[in-house]
Amino acid sequence: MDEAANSGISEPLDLVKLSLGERVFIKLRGDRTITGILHAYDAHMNVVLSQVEETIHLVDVTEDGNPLPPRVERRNVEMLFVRGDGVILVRN
Amino acid sequence: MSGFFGFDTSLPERGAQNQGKPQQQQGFSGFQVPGTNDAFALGGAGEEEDLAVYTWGESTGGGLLEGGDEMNDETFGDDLGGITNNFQFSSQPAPQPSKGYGQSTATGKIASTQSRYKPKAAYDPFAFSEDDFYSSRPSKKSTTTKAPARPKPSTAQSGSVENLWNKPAVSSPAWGTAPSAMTRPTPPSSASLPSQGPPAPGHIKSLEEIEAEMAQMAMPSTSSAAPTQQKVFSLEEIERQMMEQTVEPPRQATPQQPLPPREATPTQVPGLAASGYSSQQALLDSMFPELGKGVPASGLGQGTPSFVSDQTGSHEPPRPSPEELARMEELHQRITAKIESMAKYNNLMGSSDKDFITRIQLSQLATADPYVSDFYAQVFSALKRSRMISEGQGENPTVVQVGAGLGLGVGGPVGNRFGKMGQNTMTKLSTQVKKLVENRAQHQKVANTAALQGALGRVTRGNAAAPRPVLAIPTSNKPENRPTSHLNEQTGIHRAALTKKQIMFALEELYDAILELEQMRRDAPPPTAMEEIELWHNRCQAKVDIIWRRLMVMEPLDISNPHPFISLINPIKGQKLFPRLLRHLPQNQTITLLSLLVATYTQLDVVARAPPPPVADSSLLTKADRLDRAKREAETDNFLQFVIPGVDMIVNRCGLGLVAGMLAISAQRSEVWRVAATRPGIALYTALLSKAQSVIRTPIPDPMNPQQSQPVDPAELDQWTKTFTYFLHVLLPHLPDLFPSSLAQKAAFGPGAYLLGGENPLAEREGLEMEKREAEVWGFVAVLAVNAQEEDQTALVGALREKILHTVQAARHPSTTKERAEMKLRNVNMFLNGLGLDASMIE
Amino acid sequence: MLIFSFFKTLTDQVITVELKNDLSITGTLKSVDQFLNIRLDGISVEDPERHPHMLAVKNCFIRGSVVRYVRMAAKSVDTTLLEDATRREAKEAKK
Repeated sequence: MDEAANSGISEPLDLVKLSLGERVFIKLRGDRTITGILHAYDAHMNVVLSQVEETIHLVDVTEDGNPLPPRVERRNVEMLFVRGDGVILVRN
Repeated sequence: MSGFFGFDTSLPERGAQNQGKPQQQQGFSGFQVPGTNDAFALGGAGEEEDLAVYTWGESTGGGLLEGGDEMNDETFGDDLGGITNNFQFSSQPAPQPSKGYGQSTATGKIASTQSRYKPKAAYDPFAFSEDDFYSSRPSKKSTTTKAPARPKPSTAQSGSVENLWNKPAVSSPAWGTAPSAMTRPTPPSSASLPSQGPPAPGHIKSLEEIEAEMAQMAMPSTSSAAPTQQKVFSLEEIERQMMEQTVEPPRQATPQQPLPPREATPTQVPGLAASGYSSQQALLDSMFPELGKGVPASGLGQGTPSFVSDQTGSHEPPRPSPEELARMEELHQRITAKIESMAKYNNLMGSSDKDFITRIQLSQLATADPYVSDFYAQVFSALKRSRMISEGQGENPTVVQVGAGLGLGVGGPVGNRFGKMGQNTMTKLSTQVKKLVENRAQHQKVANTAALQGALGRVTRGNAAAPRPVLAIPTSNKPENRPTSHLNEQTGIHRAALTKKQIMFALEELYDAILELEQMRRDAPPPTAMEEIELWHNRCQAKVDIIWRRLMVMEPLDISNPHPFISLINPIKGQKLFPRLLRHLPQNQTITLLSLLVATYTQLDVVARAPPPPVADSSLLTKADRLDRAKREAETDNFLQFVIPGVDMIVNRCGLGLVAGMLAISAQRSEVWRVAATRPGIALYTALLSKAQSVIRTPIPDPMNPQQSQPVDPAELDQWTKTFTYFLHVLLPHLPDLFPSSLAQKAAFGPGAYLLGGENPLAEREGLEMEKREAEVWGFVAVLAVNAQEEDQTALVGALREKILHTVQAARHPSTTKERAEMKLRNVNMFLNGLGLDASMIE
Repeated sequence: MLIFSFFKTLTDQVITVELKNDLSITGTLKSVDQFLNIRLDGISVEDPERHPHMLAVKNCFIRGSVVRYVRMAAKSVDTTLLEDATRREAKEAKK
């Protein structure tokens, strides 16, 4: 059965398709990650997600250039389009 | 870019031609003849649709390099007579040939370019460009001495290509450069010809002629003076031609190109399919409106040098003024150098390559089937429209039908609609229960309420002569009449449960199959075509069979835990699929499916991992806990929204025997109190019990399914009674624990904590939510009451006595808001009324 | 094309476009093209203090490539249909 499942998956996007309608985790450029329910994707990895939580990892720098401990900023969005050029990876 | 340059350059050349012969105008008109253009456009269009786009690119590449000689024959075949003329035209050969050539180019190659570039804005520019094209061809040939030496097979095309490369070097003077630029259009055109397919009839001499012409060309081309002369004339000629063309030829051309394209916007598929180029042209028009106009204007005003400058593009064209001659010369040289460097890449893309790219771009905007590339927008707007209609017309039943039909056709039921559907089912269930209860209450009034008097302890109204404070509850669980089921047979085969990936894969396959099936249903042949209908029906049936197999419902019951089918409807994605599946499955299959579902109900995530009862204050939970709860709650909500309506629908199609069978399966294969402690479980049992009751009491008119009015089979009734009694007795001791509020108290805060939580608005909202959950359970026990025999009713009341009193007290407690109190009373009364009692009787 | 199709259904709705430079612009979507260039009307900027130059701008054209996110109302999206459309597109692409 697993082989059967694998045989139908010939390209990476097929794997993404399996996550349609499911919650996915997406790593983005700029130290951002988001999770949300995947509703659409295309070949550019443009995606449309709902019930999104975005996490931004920030490292603030003091005036003399020393980095402060990293902090995390979170935002919730009910429906979000993410442009594909920022997507690094998608995981379910 | 070559295309644009080609335009610019074309002007002077063409003028030269004109100068050579006034007859050429005929030629122009000829090339503009709509018929030829049409043929060309059609050919191109045909290719577009039938062939993969790639063929275009390949063919072009081949043409550029050298191959495609057969094509050359065809291309030049058109021109046959024209070819010779063409080459001569630079040297101002006989009028006839030139004209012929003009026609050929116009029809074949230039037609495409013409269509692509702003034909509408100015007909003149196009005419110019075409002229230029063919004029350029000869000129370049002349520059290349090699061409004649070429072997025959290579033909004009190969020669032209070489010319292109060689040209920049050869033509160092500014004037000379112009032709080089012009050359660009030609090779592509030749390449494009083959791709465009339909060769014009009447090409015989092409090869020989070409060679001869080439030879001829070489001579005249060397003299740069000739071209300039021609150009001088060209301006006038151009103007004249413009006038003429605007009068005649353009007219003919216009109908094909400018008009259809205008309308053939991206969304309009048919436009593109039919007229191929025209739509592209339209697009280009819209994108570069200034293109067509700008080019000719500059050409006219500036004279020959301008053309050169135009080609360079980046450089400002030098105006020919005598004082600045030296400067101009330098400029020209620089320009020439630049052009040469740029020309290195000339013709890297043939016109068909450019067509190819244009097509790629356009193909994204237009397709033959708007449902293919624009599915979402098309269907979304259709749904929106239908929704607006339905809103406008309110509850009109026809509208509902429309909506349903659309849903089927669309293949994607809207979340909204499903939401409503889910709500409807829940309301339906509760109204069913309510009706049953009311009916029962009426019966009871007449019958013996005496047996229940005092069942709740003190009864204020009625006969209080001999109140029985406490009931002796007969807890006689006699599982003798335990129903059996063939589903219980053990097969012995056991497999591992599906992995998550397998589930997801299977679900995607199912979705694909469903989408295809829905598309198929949408494409139903007209009702008149009997044979087609039969075929279509068979195809649909085959698809349904595939789907049925993929559902894995027929796998042995104990093959894995969870059963593969349960695995499929565990994820939200699978739950969403459920109602769409049911729509297509025949009734017997749906019943099989429901039997399986009931038998394996405990394997469902929403049952096995039911969310814990809500707590009065969710802020006490850890974050992980909250997330987990939220996830499980969401799953449960989805299950209630997507699966339960389908379950209810199937149950409503079942007879009493089947319902009894289902209940038996459930009682036998699972611990019913565990199932009943979950919302999906409550929903399932409520559906089953209320259906049974409504079948038994056939006189009750049930508007939901009016066809259910056959008399009940006594054997079935007996079976039902036994099953139900067993079921009830198994459940009785656990009844109070089914209530979420009881559970919440026990789980989190101990008794009473829940009652105190009614002060802040957040708790109030959670409390209301709690009452809603409670209502589901009260509805369930009400159906139990309605179904129960007399002695069982007593037992039922006994089991719930505390709960009832507690709830009524809470409702009367001053700290309870009015809204909540009402809900509580309504809940309790739902149950009590079923027994012919009322909460107001309780002190 | 799927996403283009998706955005077409959002026309005349209020959306928030977050650009890669962290500028967030809220406005009514007037048009979109296949590059996902976006035209917004009646715009307002989320953080006007940081972007005072945007105060006077009432409508704008946003090049698609500078967009990071587009936020929209959940109710303006039919997720079931959108997933179906995605499946269809994926299938089309495989042919």
